[in-house]
Amino acid sequence: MRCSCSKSNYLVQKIFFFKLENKINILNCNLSTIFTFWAAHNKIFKYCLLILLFPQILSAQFYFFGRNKVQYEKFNWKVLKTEHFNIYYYDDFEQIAKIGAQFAEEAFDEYKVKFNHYVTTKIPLIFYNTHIHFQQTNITPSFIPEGVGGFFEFMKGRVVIPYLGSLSSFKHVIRHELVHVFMTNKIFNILRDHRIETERMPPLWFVEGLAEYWSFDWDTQSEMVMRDFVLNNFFIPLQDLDAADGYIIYKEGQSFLEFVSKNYGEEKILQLMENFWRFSSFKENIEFTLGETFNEIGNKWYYSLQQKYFPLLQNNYPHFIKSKKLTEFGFNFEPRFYDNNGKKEIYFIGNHNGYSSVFKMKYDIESEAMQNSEVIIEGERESKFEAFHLLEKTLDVSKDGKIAFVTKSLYSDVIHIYSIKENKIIRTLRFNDLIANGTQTSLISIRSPSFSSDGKLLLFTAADKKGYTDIFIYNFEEDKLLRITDDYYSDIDPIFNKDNSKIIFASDRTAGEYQQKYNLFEYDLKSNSIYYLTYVNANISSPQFNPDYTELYFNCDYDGTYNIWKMNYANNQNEIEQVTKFLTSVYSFTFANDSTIITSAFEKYSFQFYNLTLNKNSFYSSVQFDLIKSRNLWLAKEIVIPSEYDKLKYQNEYTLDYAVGQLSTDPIYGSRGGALFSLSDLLGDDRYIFYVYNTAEVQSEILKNFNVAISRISLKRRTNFGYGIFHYAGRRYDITESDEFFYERVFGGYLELHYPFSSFQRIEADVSIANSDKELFGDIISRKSLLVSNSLSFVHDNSIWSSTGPIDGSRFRILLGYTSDVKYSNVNYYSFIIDYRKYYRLGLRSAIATRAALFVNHGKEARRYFAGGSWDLRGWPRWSIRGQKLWLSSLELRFPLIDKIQVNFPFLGLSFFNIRGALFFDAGSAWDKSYKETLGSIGFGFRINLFNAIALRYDIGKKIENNFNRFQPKLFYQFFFGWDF
Amino acid sequence: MIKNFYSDDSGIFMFGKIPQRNFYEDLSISDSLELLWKAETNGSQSNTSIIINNDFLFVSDLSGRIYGFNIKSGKSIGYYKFSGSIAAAPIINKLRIYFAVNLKSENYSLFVMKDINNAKTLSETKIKGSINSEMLKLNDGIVVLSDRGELIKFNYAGIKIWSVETKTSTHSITASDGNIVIFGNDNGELFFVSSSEGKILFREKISDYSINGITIDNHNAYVCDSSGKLISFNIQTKKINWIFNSKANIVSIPVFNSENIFIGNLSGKIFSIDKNNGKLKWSINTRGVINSTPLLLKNFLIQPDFNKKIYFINPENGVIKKTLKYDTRIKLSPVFYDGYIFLGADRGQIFAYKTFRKNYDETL
Repeated sequence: MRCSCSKSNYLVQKIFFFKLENKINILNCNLSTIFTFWAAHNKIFKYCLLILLFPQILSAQFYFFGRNKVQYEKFNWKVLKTEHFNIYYYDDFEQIAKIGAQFAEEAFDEYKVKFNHYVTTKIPLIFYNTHIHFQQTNITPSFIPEGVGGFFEFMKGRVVIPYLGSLSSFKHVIRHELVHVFMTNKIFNILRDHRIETERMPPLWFVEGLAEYWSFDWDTQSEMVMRDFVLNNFFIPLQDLDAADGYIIYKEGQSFLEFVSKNYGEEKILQLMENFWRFSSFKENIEFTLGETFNEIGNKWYYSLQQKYFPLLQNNYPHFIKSKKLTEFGFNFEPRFYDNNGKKEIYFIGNHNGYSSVFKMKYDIESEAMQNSEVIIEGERESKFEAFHLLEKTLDVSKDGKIAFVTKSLYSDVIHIYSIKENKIIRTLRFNDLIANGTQTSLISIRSPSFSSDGKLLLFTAADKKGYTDIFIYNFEEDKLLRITDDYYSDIDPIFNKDNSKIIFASDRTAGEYQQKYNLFEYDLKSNSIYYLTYVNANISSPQFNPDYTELYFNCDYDGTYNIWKMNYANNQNEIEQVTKFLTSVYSFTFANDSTIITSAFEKYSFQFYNLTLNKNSFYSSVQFDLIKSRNLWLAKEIVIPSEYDKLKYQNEYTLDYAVGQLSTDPIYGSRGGALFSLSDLLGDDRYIFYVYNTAEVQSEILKNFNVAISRISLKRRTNFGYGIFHYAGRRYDITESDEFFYERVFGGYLELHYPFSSFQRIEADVSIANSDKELFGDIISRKSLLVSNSLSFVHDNSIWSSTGPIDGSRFRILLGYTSDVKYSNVNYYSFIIDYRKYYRLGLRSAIATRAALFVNHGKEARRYFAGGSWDLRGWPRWSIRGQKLWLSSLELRFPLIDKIQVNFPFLGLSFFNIRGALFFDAGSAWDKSYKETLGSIGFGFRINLFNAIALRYDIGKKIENNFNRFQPKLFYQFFFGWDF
Repeated sequence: MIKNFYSDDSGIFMFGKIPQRNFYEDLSISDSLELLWKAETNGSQSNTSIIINNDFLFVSDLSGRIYGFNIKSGKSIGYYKFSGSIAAAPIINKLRIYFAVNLKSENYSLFVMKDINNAKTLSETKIKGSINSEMLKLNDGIVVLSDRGELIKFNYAGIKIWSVETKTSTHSITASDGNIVIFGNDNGELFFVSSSEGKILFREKISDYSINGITIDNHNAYVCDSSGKLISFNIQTKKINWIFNSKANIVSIPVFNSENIFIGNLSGKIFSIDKNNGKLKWSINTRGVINSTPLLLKNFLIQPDFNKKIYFINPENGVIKKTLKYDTRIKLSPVFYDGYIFLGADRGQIFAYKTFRKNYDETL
């Protein structure tokens, strides 16, 4: 949430506040300006809107910045209306959408029984054909990280799911999210039936654990993670699960519910929901429902896991026992060995420097190799290398010294070809609207690049607009793309055989007894035929030939977790042999020589490299299989829809996002009231905001004090826009002018355009026209103006955040603006803003942050900027430094202070996480005509992130005045909230 | 408090009308209904039913209230309020009303006896766990089953006569032929307990799943489990007659006439089964969720569907003759009394319909 300064969010908040401001100097729209408005103009709504817009206001400090959620694509949305769902999909995704609809209807029928519940309204299910398109959704304003496989949005009950290339994982995610739908609907109804407040929910570990437990069977990944947690002391006891988050709670929650089902009865899980109304604490609910104390239950669960996993130590091995650990930090994937003229090197994807990047390390198992690893390509800083898809297979090295690696770049993945000899990228391949096999093809997400032995061909898998994940060959010499497979089966990890005549790959096209298991297949490029290589009741991935191409090695989960197995490729005997017997999974591997493998393995909640010496003459076990049992194909069932409900074009369906109204009376301002509400369409692309209130103190002034604003914001296209009209009237107090009270009536309109170049950069243009009629109190002076304001800004932001603020990257805004009274010539000035912030990372969790900013309004009746307070010149009274020109500069050391502090009262325990420290130095000044003095402050502070929604800051320091000649005698103490600059 | 409340033993005093839990009325009605009145309670109801004493209808709600309504006008005559939830239907005996409250923030429940005339609480007894199972009204007392598996008998003075601890959790209903009380538990065990002495006469595992609804038909008990099995069990020989598998959890109670037995399950399917041999006569799939016990008349099986509907089904062939659609989920089992049918929907809505004789356009 804290990094969710997305374009949509940004634009919504900016336009919203702008409209409320109704000011002539929209160019001064920093947070202080916003609060000036709140303080002076809008007493009625101040509190309710502060609450309502809390996240926006919090991030409004970064209002100037924020990354962009770019709508690269123009999606032609369609709707499938099934019995229980409205399914939204677009373009060529119809077939997979119909399969997904079938999954959803089947899940609904199952869950209505499991939950003893019926969701009576149609559930909106929104499908994206790839994760890259999913990341463009406007249904949530937040940025969606790589690992998110779908989400359920509580407010409107929308389920949003990307297709990731595998029908089985698609089914899993649909079922997972529908468990959320049923659970939240059931809990809501239980609470409402009992007339209890409906905002409560069970803890996250239960919510996610249930979604996992009831959506699929215990699988290899679950097994791998739980083995690791229990055997390597990462296990979080039941008593502490409420405070945990991340992937660990999914698996531990799932494991706990499995334990409950086995030991207390499956019906207890539903009873935990049905008894939810009874206790305010979920712990008490568990104790009541299961009939034992929380500690007893937690201890029994842990004991059951120990019973399950400790015996594995007898015959299975940790990676660090059977192989030598090569790396220590970060996550490291896809090791590829390369002999660089005698220098042994490993190229890989990792993130130990804080960014996912391509690294090189010396392969020398006797030295501390990792410490000498070198960044080849640093990701996440520019649009070419926006994301490296950690956890996916995205890198290969050819024998002639080329690295192929995949990154997300703008609207799709691309493959970069990097020359090791030339030490640069020599080519970037993007497959957009290319002809492959005579058909126009656009490839969106790409995985598993693999060179042919001569380096002239590149194999890879890619997802197209239909969502199919298929195998492609790119021919470097002919610049041609060849599509090998074209169906909805998931084909992964292709490699060439020795003479490049065949492709070996893993696929879920396995039919018959082991349907949808990932087995190995062989594609004959001469006959264009596919043959089974294996037929086992297991999932296989990452095939690799040994150096002489006689044996095929691969990962296989036959014994419960992914280990390395092999088969004799030269003389296939329908048998696979187990090469390793590790407790936790091998993720990927590469041959360093014919007897040594470098693995990327999961252990201690981390992916690290290990050097494994093969014993070629022995194996742990073998499995024989019979290819005769295999069948040709399985077919996925598609839902059958009556023709009148099939493929309907999506029409904007607007529903209420929020509505708030208030009527208040106070002795100074009298009675006043109003309302704010917002509508948006189902896809979140189009939004209307209505705002109306009245500040009249007597009936005769109702019309005179009527305030209304209507805005529309469109996020549907790459260029976002907003426009609207407003009318505001009432008594005002302007903090930028000392003690200036006035009555003002202003009406007008605005238009704002944002064009993002990439996630990191955008250009913004604003224009507004406002007719202002102002009467200053006391002096009985009337001033009219017809103000036209324009501004043009360039914004850059590639910062990376820790818990309380950015710690890496940079961000800046340059703004030029002009405001003029085109009718009465009362106002005429230009504006210039440059605000630059740069973060120098010192370690994973510490950084030096710098800021330099200059704000200028110059001309007739130019407005003032102001500073002072926790967000700029710390220690100085808030907004006490005012002027038409203002400069600010800050230097801050950010560092971790306390990771966890636990306070236990007799009746309550509280834990605080991620307390951060800061040493800071601020300087700045503001003036109108002539420069006054330079002010500053120096000190240290504490920051803490609460619920990922707010950062609390406490600063202690000394103010510096008189052009830096004198420290003020006393310390200042300042407490406030807001993210670090 | 209902002044001048009287009782002449005319009414429906417990869920299922009689201790055997019989939901059958030996009459036919036409499929035209006239909505007489609609009333609301504060909270919603569980899958229970209203009860009736003469002119008054009583219904519990999940926000801890027992409401009284005039059955002719639907006018509320007030309610008792507790901090918690009342899931099971109350029981009326003479001038007293008995009910169980699942207390909020407590791990026990209260068995309460009140005087209807003066609203005074005459007794309160703590019971461990929740009382979600429908209570049983016998000639000499009331039987209550807690979810902790404790079966308790109170006399009509509210005094505990005996209790049986089975020490296994249960979500079964109780039924009785007058001599024994039958119930099951979550381990699939079936219990016979002497209603006079509170002794366990029979305890045997008849299912791998939890036992839910039970009804008694002469010397047979029909028992449903959470896997969807309907088990016909001979009370005298203590043997299973036959098993029918509906393949989805049955939480409602089977109903029967002279030939067939009818069940609905959570997958929305309704079945008619031959009582003698357990063979399927017909089945329909409503696509909804059947979790309320239906009302069986001679010519209609009136079956609520959680998916906002009530079906009027021909019990002979399973043809749905009429469907009533509602704005909210249907919760209560329909009750027929004195020519009226009483239904209940989500958010505490109670409906009273006037019925008409079949083939005659006159009020019953």
